[in-house]
Amino acid sequence: MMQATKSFQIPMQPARARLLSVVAIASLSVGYLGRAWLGDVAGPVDLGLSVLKLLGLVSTILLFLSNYGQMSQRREAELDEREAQLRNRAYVLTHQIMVSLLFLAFFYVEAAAKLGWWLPDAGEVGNLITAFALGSMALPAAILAWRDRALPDEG
Amino acid sequence: MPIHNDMSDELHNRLPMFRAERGMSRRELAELVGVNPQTIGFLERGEYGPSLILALKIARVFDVPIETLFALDPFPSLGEQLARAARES
Repeated sequence: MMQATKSFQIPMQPARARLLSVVAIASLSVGYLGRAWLGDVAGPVDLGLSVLKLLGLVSTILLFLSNYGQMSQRREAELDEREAQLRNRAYVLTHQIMVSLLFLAFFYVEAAAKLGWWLPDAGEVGNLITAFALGSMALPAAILAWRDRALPDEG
Repeated sequence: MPIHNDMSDELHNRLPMFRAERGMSRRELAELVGVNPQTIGFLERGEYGPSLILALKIARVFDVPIETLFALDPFPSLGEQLARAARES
């Protein structure tokens, strides 16, 4: 990377970052959406959802602090033209995914209100918004990790 | 409206040959033109098409015209070039 300023990052191989991204997205989806969907539950289900939420939060933070997460927020001048192109594509895909999810949510709310389907209450909406925010934080790094094709350094 | 032509979108290059001839590592070339060494690797494998500025910078490092390094058509192999040179001489 060009003129990279020394910022804290966790160096991560593509395979590890990909695994972490799967853990993050799966845990966020099941943990936060499950909590919103199931509402007040007790016992092992409650514990399981709490563990998943925590796992989603920690893995998202780790992914954000990885070299991929840091690349996703580095200044343009600190990236070379290929890296800038990769990063821009990752942001475009993140934007498309998040906007699609938002539209799906809008359609669902409209349909649910008319058809009597489940709708989240204020507390449950908080869980959904948290999952959405953490997901948008994890996605650029996850996309960069999945698209990375590391070449052997031949010197 | 999309533009259609018969030209290939593939960019061929002679970077590995020029770099090997000069005994230059990817890292050294990358530092000279201000990119990540991995970007030089992707360029050499034809998996990334450089901007005009980067292509000109690389051509300047090797002190050759840009079309000596990059072309839309595949470059003839070294054997073919030698055979042609032998025929012409």
